[in-house]
Amino acid sequence: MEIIAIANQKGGVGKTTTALNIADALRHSGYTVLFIDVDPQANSTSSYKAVIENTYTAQDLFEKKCSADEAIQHTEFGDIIAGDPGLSTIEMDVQKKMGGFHLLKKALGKMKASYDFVIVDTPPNLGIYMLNALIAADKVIVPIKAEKYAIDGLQRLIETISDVKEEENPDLEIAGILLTTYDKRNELDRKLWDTLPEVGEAIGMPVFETPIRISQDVKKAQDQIQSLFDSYPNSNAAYDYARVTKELIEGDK
Amino acid sequence: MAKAKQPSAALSMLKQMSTDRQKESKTKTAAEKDTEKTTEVKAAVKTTASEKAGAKDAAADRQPAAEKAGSEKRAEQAASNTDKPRNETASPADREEGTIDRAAYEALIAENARIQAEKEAAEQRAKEKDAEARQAAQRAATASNAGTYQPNPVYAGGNGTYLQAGTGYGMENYAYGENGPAVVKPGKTQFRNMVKEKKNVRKNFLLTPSNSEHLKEEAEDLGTSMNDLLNLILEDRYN
Ligand SMILES: Nc1ncnc2c1ncn2[C@@H]1O[C@H](COP(=O)(O)OP(=O)(O)O)[C@@H](O)[C@H]1O
Ligand SMILES: [Mg+2]
Repeated sequence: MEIIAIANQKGGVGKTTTALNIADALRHSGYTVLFIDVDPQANSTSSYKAVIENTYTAQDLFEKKCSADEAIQHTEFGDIIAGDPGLSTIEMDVQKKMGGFHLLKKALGKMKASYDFVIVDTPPNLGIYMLNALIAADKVIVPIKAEKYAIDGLQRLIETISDVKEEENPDLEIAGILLTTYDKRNELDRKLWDTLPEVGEAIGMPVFETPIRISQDVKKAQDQIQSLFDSYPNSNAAYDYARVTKELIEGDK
Repeated sequence: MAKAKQPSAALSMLKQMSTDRQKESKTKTAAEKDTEKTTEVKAAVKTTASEKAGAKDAAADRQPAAEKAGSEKRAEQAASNTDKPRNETASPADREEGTIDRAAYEALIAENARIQAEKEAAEQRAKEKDAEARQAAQRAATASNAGTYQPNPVYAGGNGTYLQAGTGYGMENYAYGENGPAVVKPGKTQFRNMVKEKKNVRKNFLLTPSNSEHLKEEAEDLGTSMNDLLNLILEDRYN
């Protein structure tokens, strides 16, 4: 079982889109996948049409009210442990709790269900839930979007990742920086894409060789609560996510 | 549009991965299972050259032109991949039957170990060389900037609050820049000018094998923060 966290403390960089589509691509490649949404915004949870009321969610997992197995929902899109707005409410309590940083790792360690991959979508901050994801993860993917300060803040993420590696999870591997919403007609996008290998080298992060191209189909699929691969399999973004998934798998070999 | 009727390249790629995977697990011998991590064996058993070529063609059709950026690096990677030993002795027939010549397999493992050792030795040599070069550069910089050190305001406020209400988790590690060696450092403005005037400051930095530890050191040496350094690198590219 390989656990992959999708992380960047910036919002709107394509974390959720990346998490959803890599999970989907892995399923299309015949792997079994569990999706875990630890973002209180619970966008992924909506995309899975998973429920939050009257069921165990990530919140209950972090409050130790249930096991990982009990929190899994089987939806038409795949298996998921749902995110929950209530995660915000309990954030401070989780943080203060002894072992609060290791709750996800522990829960997954005890999980009886077995999956080839676990994909964890994280909130846009360096808080307790992202740390839980990084501590539990084997790999982390860092999506970035071409905007003026795209690299700003990556330094803190790197420090956090280095710290997690040093203190808690020496085997954590940075799968790579992934450029999302890439529009080659846009000059800033082209520049960032050209600069990225150098920046990656400077900060010690590999860069995925495939940028995810901007595609209206991504938004359409999300609006219609559809899987991109099922509804718009010919979109550029679907193709790019398939390639990134291939890179990810081949990186393991 | 006609596009919609075309078979999806994305789906066929994923399907191919799935097929590869099934093939792979079928042809996996006990010996291979023992050494799951031996990448070359897996690659040799799994993907035929023609499959790879096919996939590449499809990719070339669809990839954005700008992907060519950094293709040098990729070419390097590809070249280094071909340097790696292949399981030449496992004939296609062997592959189909899922058996691998045991002796050839052992030889491959040995060869892998040898290449790995060689690579590590080369890396070590490069590291040493790099450290020397860096020391020399630093000596030069120190000499030419003697007496111009200005305290860096970035350090004044400490290193920020990661996990505000924190449990003290790892905070100690953020106190960098405080107790480095007392060398004379160029100030931030000065570094900015250096970057503008002598681009090799940046190039030197980028050419070294680096990681975040390295970036941190560089930032300290230059009397700036990691963030500023990164932004300068980018600014330099954008201007
Ligand atoms: N490849 C893409 N093409 C077009 N829009 C995209 C693409 N990737 C992400 N988006 C859009 O960008 C916005 C932010 O993406 P999201 O994945 O929610 O980011 P995050 O989870 O980091 O906040 C969403 O509206 C999403 O639909
Ligand atoms: Mg999100």
